[in-house]
Amino acid sequence: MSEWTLAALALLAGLVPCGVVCLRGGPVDRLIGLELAGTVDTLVLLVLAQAFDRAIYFDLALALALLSFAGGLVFARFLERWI
Amino acid sequence: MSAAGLAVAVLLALGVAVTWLSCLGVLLMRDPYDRLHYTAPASALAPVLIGAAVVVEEGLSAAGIKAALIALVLVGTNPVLGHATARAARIREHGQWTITDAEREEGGP
Repeated sequence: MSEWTLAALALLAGLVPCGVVCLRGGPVDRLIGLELAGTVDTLVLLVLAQAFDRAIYFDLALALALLSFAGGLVFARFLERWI
Repeated sequence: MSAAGLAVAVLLALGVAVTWLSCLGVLLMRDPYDRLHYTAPASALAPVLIGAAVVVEEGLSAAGIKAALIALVLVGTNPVLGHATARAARIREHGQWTITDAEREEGGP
């Protein structure tokens, strides 16, 4: 097991607090948990791409980074007034 | 272990530690505004550390450049997301983003 796989496993453990925040608190707290989970997921995919040594896998992390940003903005916009 | 290998291990360990502390901070705070502060290290510091680890290992190959690009995207977009979330939290609480009349009478927010 390389240090990259270990780092990916360790980063995955960071998703547990994000999940707990998503399950408790008000809507804005849950959105913050979701945003942080998106960032941690991006880092996990980045580290896994290096662990598997495939340059094409980095595109997955890039797509997730851009899409979680767009998704977070949409959620924030709707939480302002409508939800 | 070579110097580059050691640097990669240290950068990865620091990136993971920063992410963990950030997640714990978000978990332990009670207020959305307090929680938002703790999302910043995971999105500004950890991608730079982990991207640097990839660049040290791979050099400026396709993988290294993509890792640097991902770090740049995360560092660039997360402040915008944080601002949008704080704005949503304040509008939900007060009905408007700007200073309310009550706050103005008290002499500021």
